[in-house]
Amino acid sequence: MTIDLASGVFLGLPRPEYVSLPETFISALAWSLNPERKVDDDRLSIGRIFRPVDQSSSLPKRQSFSLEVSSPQTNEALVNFGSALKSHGVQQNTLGLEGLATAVLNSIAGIRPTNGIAQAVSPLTPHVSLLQNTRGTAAKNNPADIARYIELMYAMGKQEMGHSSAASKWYSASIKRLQYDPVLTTIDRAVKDALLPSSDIPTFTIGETGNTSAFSTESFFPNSPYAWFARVWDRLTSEEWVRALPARVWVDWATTVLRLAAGLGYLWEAVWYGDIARAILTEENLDQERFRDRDRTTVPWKSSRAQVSIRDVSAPMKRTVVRGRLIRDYLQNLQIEKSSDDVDSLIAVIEDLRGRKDVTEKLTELLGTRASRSPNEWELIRYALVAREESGPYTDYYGLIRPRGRRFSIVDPGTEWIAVIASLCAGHPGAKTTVSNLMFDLNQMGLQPEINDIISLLERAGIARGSADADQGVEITSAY
Amino acid sequence: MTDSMPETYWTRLGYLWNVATGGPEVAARPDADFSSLPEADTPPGISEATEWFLRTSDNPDQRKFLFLVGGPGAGKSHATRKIVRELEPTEHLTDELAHRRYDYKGPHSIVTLINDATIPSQKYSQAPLLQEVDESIRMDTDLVVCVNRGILVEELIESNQVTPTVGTKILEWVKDGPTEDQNDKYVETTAHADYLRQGCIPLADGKKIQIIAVFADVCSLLEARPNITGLGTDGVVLEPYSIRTEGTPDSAPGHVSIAGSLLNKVLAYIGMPEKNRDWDPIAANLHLLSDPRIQKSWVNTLRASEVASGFKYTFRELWGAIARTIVGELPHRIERTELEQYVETLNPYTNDTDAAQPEDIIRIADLRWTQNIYGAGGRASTDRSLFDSDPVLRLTHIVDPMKDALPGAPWASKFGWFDPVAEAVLGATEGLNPFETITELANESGVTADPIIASKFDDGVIREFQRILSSRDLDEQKKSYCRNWYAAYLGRAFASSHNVTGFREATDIWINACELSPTIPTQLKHGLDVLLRPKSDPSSRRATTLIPLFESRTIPIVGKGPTSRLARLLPGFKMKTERVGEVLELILIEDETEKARMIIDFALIREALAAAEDFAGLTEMSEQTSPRLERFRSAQLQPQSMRDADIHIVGNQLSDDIQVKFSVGGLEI
Repeated sequence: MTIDLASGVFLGLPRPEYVSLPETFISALAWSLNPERKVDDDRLSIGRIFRPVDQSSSLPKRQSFSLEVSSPQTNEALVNFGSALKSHGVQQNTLGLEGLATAVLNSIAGIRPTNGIAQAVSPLTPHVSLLQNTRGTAAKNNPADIARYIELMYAMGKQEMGHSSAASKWYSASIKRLQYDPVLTTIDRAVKDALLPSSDIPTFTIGETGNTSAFSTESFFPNSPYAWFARVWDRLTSEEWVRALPARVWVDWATTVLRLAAGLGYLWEAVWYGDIARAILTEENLDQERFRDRDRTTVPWKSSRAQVSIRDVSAPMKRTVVRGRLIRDYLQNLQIEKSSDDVDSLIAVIEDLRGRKDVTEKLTELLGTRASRSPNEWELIRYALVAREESGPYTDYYGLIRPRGRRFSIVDPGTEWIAVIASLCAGHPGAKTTVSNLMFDLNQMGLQPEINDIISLLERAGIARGSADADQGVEITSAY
Repeated sequence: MTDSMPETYWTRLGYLWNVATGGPEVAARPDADFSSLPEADTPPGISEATEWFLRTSDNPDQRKFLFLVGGPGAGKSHATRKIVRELEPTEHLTDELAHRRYDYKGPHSIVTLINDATIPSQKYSQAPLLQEVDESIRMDTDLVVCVNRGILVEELIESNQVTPTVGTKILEWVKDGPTEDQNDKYVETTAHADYLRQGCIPLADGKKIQIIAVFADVCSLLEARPNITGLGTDGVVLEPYSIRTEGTPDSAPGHVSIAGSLLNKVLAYIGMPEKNRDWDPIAANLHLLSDPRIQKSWVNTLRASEVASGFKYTFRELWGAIARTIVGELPHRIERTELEQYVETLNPYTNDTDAAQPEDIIRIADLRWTQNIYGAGGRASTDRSLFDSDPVLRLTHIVDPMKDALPGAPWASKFGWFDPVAEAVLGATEGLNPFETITELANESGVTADPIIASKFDDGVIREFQRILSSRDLDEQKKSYCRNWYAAYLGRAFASSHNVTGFREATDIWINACELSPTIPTQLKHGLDVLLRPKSDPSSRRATTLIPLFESRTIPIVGKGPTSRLARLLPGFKMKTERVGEVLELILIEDETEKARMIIDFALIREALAAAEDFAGLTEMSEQTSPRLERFRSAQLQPQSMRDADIHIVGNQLSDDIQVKFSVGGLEI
């Protein structure tokens, strides 16, 4: 018999993989509210991309799934989209329908990666978000279920789920935006009519519990990145934030929150398994709640005054992830003699395993493992947290970590990263908060920066002045 | 801590060791009562409010509430110590711990002191300060509170969950000032300045509470201290806090800052050594700093560093700067008791030779104040991280004039200054005296005043370097090193004689913008215009400003883009500034409505000044300012702004921008 999921040992997060286009996070949530369509008499699944990076060359053929391009590929299709825009209220007489359609499509296009086949669409509205899916952007038939792990993390961060899910919150925010923004409303309607196949009738089904699994309150982690994510996601998707932020800024902020949830969420999971292994190896008396709520470091954020080699987070994070994965796999396959009724809690499992020499020896070995390979979790974490472009028109101001040379990566948040975190910490648009509250949020995310480094970042972002009140009392004003 | 050594020139200098690296004592005690160093003037309002609080009121039914607001090192604790010095505690606390609250027997009532509102309250778990204020009203006690703004923000956030009380209204008044809402006025404001607020609350039973809130760190210690008269009376006069650097050439005579005044007191206290030595850089510093022109320059240097760093000096940094100016980094290298012996043995003529070695002269000359204040030749030469961590260097190193050696002469150019130094160093390699070269150049331009303020110590350094640079025996690599060092040494000395600091144009414009607020100075306005609304065609007079509708970065579209896309034509908007204390904000106004605001700091001014004609420039600050500028512009793309937005299609395929109308309304849900 193996350790039961209900014991609380395992968090139940599915295996992830790296997300090459950050826009995919929102599209994955959008698709989770819609049924999947297949082709060829329901035999082949559909991978969908907005448009190929290289428009002139044909897409590679896939045996296992059908890869489709959402943006118009022929003049006729362009005209069709232009007509849809016109029929939904766009007035212009100088340009042809083609020119109008092209300008709109260029405007909603997202990141154009230097490597990869697909250019993303910026998920500005519900139907625009459906112009790509994970299978298309990952270019594989069975991609990681992004929406599922996002929903699981959201659920683990909420004490009471109510009837909400991360996806339903996003949908509600997107619909609110359309109420205020006539340009996006027009585009959304035209996209629905002209770019989504008639068989892809979007339903945006929001069930009573969204698409989340039922979670017991034991799966609530109040001092974790999940709790931070659930709190700020509820804030960001509220009407006041929708009204305060320009459309693209809102999408960028939402993507930043989702990137952090995914990256820090999987890091925290790895630290969790490491902590369980250490708890089995010690004789410490454990209290379930205290063990669950203890402070855990996800990204070892060292002082900016330290040398680059000391500030490197790449090696320690990778080590944590590799060990966490090995420990989790080992515990999942471990045979236990007692019935799951006898070891029905985390503490019971830990205490039961303390007596087994084979287990303690193996865990000691696993805790000493050097990072040699890169599991999927590591790839996801790295791509989620590292700034993608450091300069130029696609500069990523929302990254947490930057590479330094070939060997090191250090915590060096982009200017807008701190603006997002601090503004959502303030709660409402235009609200004020303090560094003390911000430090609480950062600690929940598993980050323990030096306070002076945070103040300096806030000053650089133009949302705080350090001189008036030092340390914890520095006042921060929301960026919008 | 009390030093028991007999007071001599050397022991007096030794007291600077106590304050060289700041420390909690310095923060808590601006009077430095742990040593014999002179007492600093308090920030405006502190000593006046202390006197008001201690003044026995004629009206026993009137309570006094004093709020001292500000971060550590602003002089709050020093003021409260003065207040409670003569009072008897209601309870004698025997532990050595710092407590949040103390109670004393006052002449008419109990005086409650909230000494540090950041310490958790034992009595109240939620919004403790608010409840303590309410308790004081209920129990009819006088109240003194030391608090920072962060605590006020937190308390008021917490207070949203409970019914507002008089305490809530008082804290709101302290934090935000008088309310506009006549129906919501609990506190009647009787006087108001950036740094102080005086008000009164009439209570139901005929009693009243007089409240004074002093914002201890609003005014720079490097600006003239505003005058305050009649505090606590109906005839109170609060001079506005005006920003006008003591060091700037047109500053009004008699403007003496707290920092300048403290430096003077320290110089008078330390005095000069009894014995004249040829190679005594500390005595040279004391001598130079006693010159009013150099004092002005010293204040100007610190003030420029404040503007450039955005960080205001507290007494902690100020004492650190004074110590660093006079004795450099000696407190990090030797004990204070070794100082006399150290200075006695300073001599570049080692090995009994007549020719001093360059490195020996540099070692001594690097203790000149102009080297000390920027960390030149100190530990930061080998450990650059000190420029981030040293409490003084992290501010001053930004405005090292050698980072900004602009061509020109100070007597002929507004911001250029380095040409005379360059010529003097060149002349020195040919055996000419650098001071004479500079004086000749000045005289040729009709300047009669000393073009460089130097000491006998400098004469020695100059003489030796003149010899070294014109020597044929030194190898070229070493000579080049000496030439560079000497150019920087002479450059900083020359700059200090002419009130020159690095990036002076930017710091001057910031000060000017503060003075003129809400009007934006012309030279800044053009730069801000180019940054915020660059023309889509800079060559055209009538060109419009377009920003992309759905892009991550709201970089205005200039010229023809690579692809056609949607853009919003920016409507006409006005700009003005608003200054509160030292915080200068740019406000964007569209249709008489405020749309966005952004802090104007040194980085933004550098960026604005980099604009050439109608094209934005690039500085090392661009990465810092771009996101802020883009955020500011993106205020034009908020959903509610989109209903009447003027949308265009722009792109290289088109001869002109094409207007597009989105006539549909929002979704009806």
